Amino acid sequence: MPTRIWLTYKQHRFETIAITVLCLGLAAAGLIEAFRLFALHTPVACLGNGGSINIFAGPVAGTVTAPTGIDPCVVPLNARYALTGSLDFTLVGMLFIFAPFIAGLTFGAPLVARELEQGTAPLSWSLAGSRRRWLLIRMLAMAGLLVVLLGAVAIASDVYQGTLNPTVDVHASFETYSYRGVMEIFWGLAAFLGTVALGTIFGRTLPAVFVAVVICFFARAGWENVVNQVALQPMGQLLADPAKMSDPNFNYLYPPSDLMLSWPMYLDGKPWSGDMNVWYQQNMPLDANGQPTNVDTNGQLLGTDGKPLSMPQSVPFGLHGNQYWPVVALESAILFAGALLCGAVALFWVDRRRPY
Amino acid sequence: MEADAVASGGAIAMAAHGLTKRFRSKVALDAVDLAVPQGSVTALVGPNGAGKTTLIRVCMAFERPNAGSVEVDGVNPWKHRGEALRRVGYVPQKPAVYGGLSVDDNLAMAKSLHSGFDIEYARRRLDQLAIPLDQKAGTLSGGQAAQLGLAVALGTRAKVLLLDEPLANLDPLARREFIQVLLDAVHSEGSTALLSSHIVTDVEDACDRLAILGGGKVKLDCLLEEARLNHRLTDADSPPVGATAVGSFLGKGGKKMMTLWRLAPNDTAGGSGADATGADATTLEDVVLGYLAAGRGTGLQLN
Repeated sequence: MPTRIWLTYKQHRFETIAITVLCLGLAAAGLIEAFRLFALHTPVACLGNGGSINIFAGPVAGTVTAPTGIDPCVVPLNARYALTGSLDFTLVGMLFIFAPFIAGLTFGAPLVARELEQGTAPLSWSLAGSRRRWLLIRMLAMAGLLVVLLGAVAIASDVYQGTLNPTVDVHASFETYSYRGVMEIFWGLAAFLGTVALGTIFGRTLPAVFVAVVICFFARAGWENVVNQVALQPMGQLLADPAKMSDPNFNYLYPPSDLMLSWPMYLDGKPWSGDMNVWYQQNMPLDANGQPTNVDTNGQLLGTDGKPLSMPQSVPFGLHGNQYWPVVALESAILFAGALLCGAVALFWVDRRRPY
Repeated sequence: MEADAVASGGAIAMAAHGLTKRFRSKVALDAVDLAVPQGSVTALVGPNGAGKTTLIRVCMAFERPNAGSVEVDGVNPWKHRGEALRRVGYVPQKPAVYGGLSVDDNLAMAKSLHSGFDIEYARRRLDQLAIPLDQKAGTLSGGQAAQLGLAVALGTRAKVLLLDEPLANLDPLARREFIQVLLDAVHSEGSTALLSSHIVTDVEDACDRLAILGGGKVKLDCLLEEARLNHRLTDADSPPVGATAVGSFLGKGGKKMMTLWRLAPNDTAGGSGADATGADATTLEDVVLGYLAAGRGTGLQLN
């Protein structure tokens, strides 16, 4: 077994070396960029609400002191923006998104397809006896290396994100959570085994790569929509009290560490599913000038009984940052199940297809 | 024909019974019955498209037969693939070597894939041929790559060797070396070899049996010497007494049509030399051409 694993790496040494350099280089680059950003020592108070450079973010850490003036923050923030907006910093951030797919496709496409293209499959399969075992060992060998390499990328991407938002624990925050950390590994595994399956079915490396790129693009682009709407809905909760939403003094700005799933409508603290236009027509008669007639001097909408009238409000529904690990575990499990399914397809197909 | 082989005594290493394989409307093998006796070196001869490769691929469980069955050392490869493949050493037409790996790595790969692979035996074989073990397989000459393929097949110590036109792309010297190594191994190990080729002269000296495949059917299956003795080639209209015409084809030089005759039983006196009817000495190539011409139904051009 060790000989076969070693020879599998040796047989695919171009891919092995290229992806090892890419992943370890990216991990090193991510750590260097994170260190450079950390070395700026930007005062936390200058980073805006929640320590995030997202100025729309609400308070996350209660201990953060708001900046007392603009001037002391201009220089450090400019330095920070210059670094985070630089080409190398941006490139590293983008590579964290693409690395699992590049690695998975590069390892997966030639694993079976090249054997078929180069005519070595008839010999290998005649010697191996069991094609499933032959492929399983190769898949395990490459998947093991992939996990190690993407593990390094995963750690670096968390550190990178951590320095972008220094007051928030990256493992209690949904900021870019599906592009970093352990999700990197599972995206890579799914891309790898999916491409192995395509390579086994097509028997050609390039077509497998092309189709895999298209599938990965749509899978990645549609992931949040599907997972948020289907898998994470049962875990979600209201992130603000609906009863307080009508209070004009209540101002909920969700923190970047939370994951918003939807904005359900509430009226008087209860779910409401009516049509806003109809509601306006029924509850907000307008005068000839188009102004509401049932508004008091304070701008408060009044009902027909003269009492203040509540308006339907959208209430944030989602997950607090402290749900990070359950969510990551669930999404990783979904990706892993998909990866295993693709692996099973590859094992099924390799046993049935012709070796040429 | 299968019965002939069985009747000749000894066990059967590879047998096909009514084997049929179709690729959509094209029939590659048409109810083929064939038996390869143990310890024999059988030449599977036929033109391109005759079904030689398909027959071997069915034996390797690469193709599923539409009808009939095949057994390799008594095991049906389609039903018990792993067990059947353990008994077979396979040499494909195109040398199947990992070009990016060294020769020794190729042997190590074979060892890792096949538990019974005798790597030292394979190394010795290559060493005798002065093929460097540390050389990249992709840089080997065609003959050396073929020898590597053969060494891998022999290293399995399989009882049955299936060689799918391994000589097709080799120069004459490499062909001769390949056949010599194969014969040495077969005779010393007591294994059985089925060697497919469309070049008759390649197998004439190497094999003791001949199976001619044409149009998906077995045209002839007998000992090589029987093939020579039981046939006559003439240019005369009068056939040897009691003989049956097999096929006519244009003779060497392209000047006259020659006819191959199958002699009546017990009428093989005279050997392969010229006889009273004016028949030329019958070569194996004549026999093969006669049967292939019969399959085509028209005179066959001999180059």
